[in-house]
Amino acid sequence: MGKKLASKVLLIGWDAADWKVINPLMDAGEMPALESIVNNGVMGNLATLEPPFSPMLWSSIATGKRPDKHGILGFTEPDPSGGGVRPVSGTSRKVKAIWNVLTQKGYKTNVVGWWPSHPAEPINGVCVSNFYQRANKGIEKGWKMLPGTVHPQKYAETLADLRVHPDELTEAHILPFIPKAAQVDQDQDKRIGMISKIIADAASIQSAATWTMENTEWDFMAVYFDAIDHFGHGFMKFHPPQLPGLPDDLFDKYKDVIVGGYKYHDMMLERLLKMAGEDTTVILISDHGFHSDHLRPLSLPKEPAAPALEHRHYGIFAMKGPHVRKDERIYGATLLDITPTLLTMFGLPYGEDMDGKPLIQAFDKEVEVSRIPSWEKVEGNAGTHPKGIKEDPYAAKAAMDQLIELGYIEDPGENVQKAVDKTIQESQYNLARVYIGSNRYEEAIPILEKLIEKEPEEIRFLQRLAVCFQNTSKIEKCKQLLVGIRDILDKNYEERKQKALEELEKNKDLKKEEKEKIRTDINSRVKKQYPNLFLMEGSILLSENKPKDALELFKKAEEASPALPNLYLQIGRCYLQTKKFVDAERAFKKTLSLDGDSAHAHHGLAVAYLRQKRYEESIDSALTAIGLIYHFPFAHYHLGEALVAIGEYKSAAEAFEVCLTMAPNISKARNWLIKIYEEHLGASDKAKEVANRPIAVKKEEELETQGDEEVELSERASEHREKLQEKSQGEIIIVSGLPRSGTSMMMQMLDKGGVAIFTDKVREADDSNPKGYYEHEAVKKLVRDKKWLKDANGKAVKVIAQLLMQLPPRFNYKIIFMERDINEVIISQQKMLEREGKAKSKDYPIGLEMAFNNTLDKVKIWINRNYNAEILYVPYASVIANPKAEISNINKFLGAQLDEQKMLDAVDTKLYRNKLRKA
Amino acid sequence: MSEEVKIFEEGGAEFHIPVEGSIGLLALGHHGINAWRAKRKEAGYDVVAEKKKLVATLEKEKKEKEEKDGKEAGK
Repeated sequence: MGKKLASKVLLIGWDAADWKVINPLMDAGEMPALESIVNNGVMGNLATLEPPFSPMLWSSIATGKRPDKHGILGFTEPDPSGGGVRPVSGTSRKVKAIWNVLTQKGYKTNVVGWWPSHPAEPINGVCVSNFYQRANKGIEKGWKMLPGTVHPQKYAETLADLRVHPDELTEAHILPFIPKAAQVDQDQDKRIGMISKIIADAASIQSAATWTMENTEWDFMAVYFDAIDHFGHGFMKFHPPQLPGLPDDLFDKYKDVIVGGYKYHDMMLERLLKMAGEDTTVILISDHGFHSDHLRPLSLPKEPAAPALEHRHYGIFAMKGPHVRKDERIYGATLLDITPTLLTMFGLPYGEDMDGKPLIQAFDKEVEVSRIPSWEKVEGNAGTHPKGIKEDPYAAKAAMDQLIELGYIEDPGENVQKAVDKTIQESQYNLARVYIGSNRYEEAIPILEKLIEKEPEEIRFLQRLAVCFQNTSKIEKCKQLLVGIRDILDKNYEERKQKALEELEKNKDLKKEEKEKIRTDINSRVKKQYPNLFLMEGSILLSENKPKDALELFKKAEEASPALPNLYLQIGRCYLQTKKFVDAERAFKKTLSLDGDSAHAHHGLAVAYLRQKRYEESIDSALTAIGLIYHFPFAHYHLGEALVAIGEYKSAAEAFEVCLTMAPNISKARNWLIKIYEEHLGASDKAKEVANRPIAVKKEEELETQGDEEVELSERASEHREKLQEKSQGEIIIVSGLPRSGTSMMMQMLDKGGVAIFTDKVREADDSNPKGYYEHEAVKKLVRDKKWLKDANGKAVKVIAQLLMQLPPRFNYKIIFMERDINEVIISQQKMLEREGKAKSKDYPIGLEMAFNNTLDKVKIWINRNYNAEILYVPYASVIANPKAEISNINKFLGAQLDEQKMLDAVDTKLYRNKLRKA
Repeated sequence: MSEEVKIFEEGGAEFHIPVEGSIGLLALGHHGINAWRAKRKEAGYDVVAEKKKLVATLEKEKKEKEEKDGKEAGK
């Protein structure tokens, strides 16, 4: 057991609490209790998970694991007894929560209101389930507490009496939230009832928490409040500034509810802090934030769990107590880190099967961190439910009504089987989103495909599948899917239009002229634009290094929906690719004007500044990006580049080290690090150590389950190790493309322009390439032998596209990639084979076309992932049609040292023989 | 539940508990709630009885309205 960092820990959860609302209130002195934590401890963002659904998130907080491991996959689940659908239950959690592990280690633990935690678990302490506070009937009808709500049973009666029913509240409780409550017509407007319920629920949780704190011994206590989330869903739309279209009288009545809710929580916090005492470490967290500004959605789509679209990516983290740093910010925390941090504070190892890590940067002393393979395998009484425990169906129904009321789930109606099917479908969809959110696209694909089999026109399923295809280099499939999505959207649009016309015809109240006017209006509606689809299609083009084409689509998306999230981010990326850094800067700033917390926009801005040699600004932006998402290797990489530029080599080395810790395969970071250690910090040993570091490979256990991939990955891993043992630096110009795409002509151009060529001239000129091939036999053996590359250092070498991915990371590469219409390439290759008497058939090889497209996709992905490779795409047709401009681009790309006139002489338009003629 | 519960302010002065309660008392947790309920009881205010009265009044009003609407429809 390691050294303990805390004797007692109080963990408080405020669902949906957000610094964006809290900070101005703290500045105004209206949240003194939280301010005391921030001033005497650490604070930071807590990144949420995808999808941001609270029962899944709070289970991840309590276990340190993603939902695919803990098994809570939504708001509801099929009732195992066959009774339809029930709210997610604590019995469905497949792994131990922090309170189970602490119980197992003999600690006294209290848990109040955690979602989901019903029925209460038999832990070593008090457990009050999340059904404790629910009041679904009037107080006059009696208010029995559901069986299984409290463990141990001996406290059930006492705690039941401490609940507060909404009917108990008076105007004294409502007026702080709605000063003009008297103006509300409660027959028509039920919002006061909603507020009463939220206030009373929170009061019940606070009451149970204070009682257990005072009347039981405890080492760890967890208390969960859902009220801020409920206030948000009901009233954030009334929070100032007034949203466009919101009636003045509604704004006037309800504009104080959100602030009132936060102040109420601060008052409760003050009490909990006082009761906990100075020696207790207090942690306050939220599972996600809540849009409170111009990003508040004006309307929500009609789909399950749509209210979660109001959630913001960052929740809050604040902690104070013994050994916690004072008045500091911490960066890069995610809600998966909470349980590993708690275990470390109690001197216990955290599980290697957990997805988070301890937040050691929050402490003012060196932290002893230890790990075990898994707590699941540790035997002993962990206070978990015995196997086979039954759920109370009435309790489930009561909570279900609550979820329906909140809009998280559809009313299941009378068709129970349909509701069960729907629940299973949603849980599967959520699981796919979990995989997507953790970059496991391959695992999401079969789930989505199965969902689409049943619901072939469900746009959200199709869009997620397209994202998966895009991220697994299945570009053609992705494009096909997008075409299908567009067809469905068009069809839906036409159906809606037709329906509107039919309803118009049925309308007997309208005059003939009025009908005619409306009919003309419906028929003349411009076909609807789909900005999200443009955005997606554009991002595919961007990943294919076609920034100009991508930009056109992004502009269309902008016309249709200028406030589309991520639109300007993508536009900025287009400008970065086309080296228009001032335009890129403008686009990223526009992104930030819409969402100041976009880490990717801050990173984009850092790159735009870097390329404009505005290093200080670049450093600031990179640091802001890192502050928002610490696990962001490219932000660390560009921070390193900017620091090198201003001569801050030590800090630069630290940045590159962090980058490599997160992404060991970013070879350019390695190269920088070696260079800095050797040339600037006088640390040859470190440089050597960096060069010898193995490249991360997949864990053994993962390899075992992947069949054929095992050999390939293992070989690749050992190959990486070998090549890294050779300390090396240097730059090689690579001319690449599909065979017959103009690579030989490009080699000739470079030769004439003054570039040293790496060729053995073994392959002689012939009818297919009358000016020579400029090849080297060694290149053909690149898969097996890479030693010859050192001889190509500083020279140009021809490497066909299929072999590019074999280039080792120890060199930097400037790649000139020849692009040619794939049909022309194939026809040219066919003719070459015919000339050589090797053609097997004169038929057009469709399979070949698909394979070539696949190769091109792979190349693009490889380029994007390798920072030691820069690429210039050169269209063959353009070299023939406009050689001067292309040669000028090539010269700039290679450092502007070439003789452009001589290069021009090498372009022979007569050799463009297999040109496709446009119909 | 009925025992007298006193609440003191930071400076030591006794806090006057209002019969109608307050957000501050709810935030205090179980002591605040017990103190408020004790005060309510002392003042003879019974929440359940009051709610029953309210429900009865509302039902009566509803019935009267339905009857009135029915008569008007029959005219």
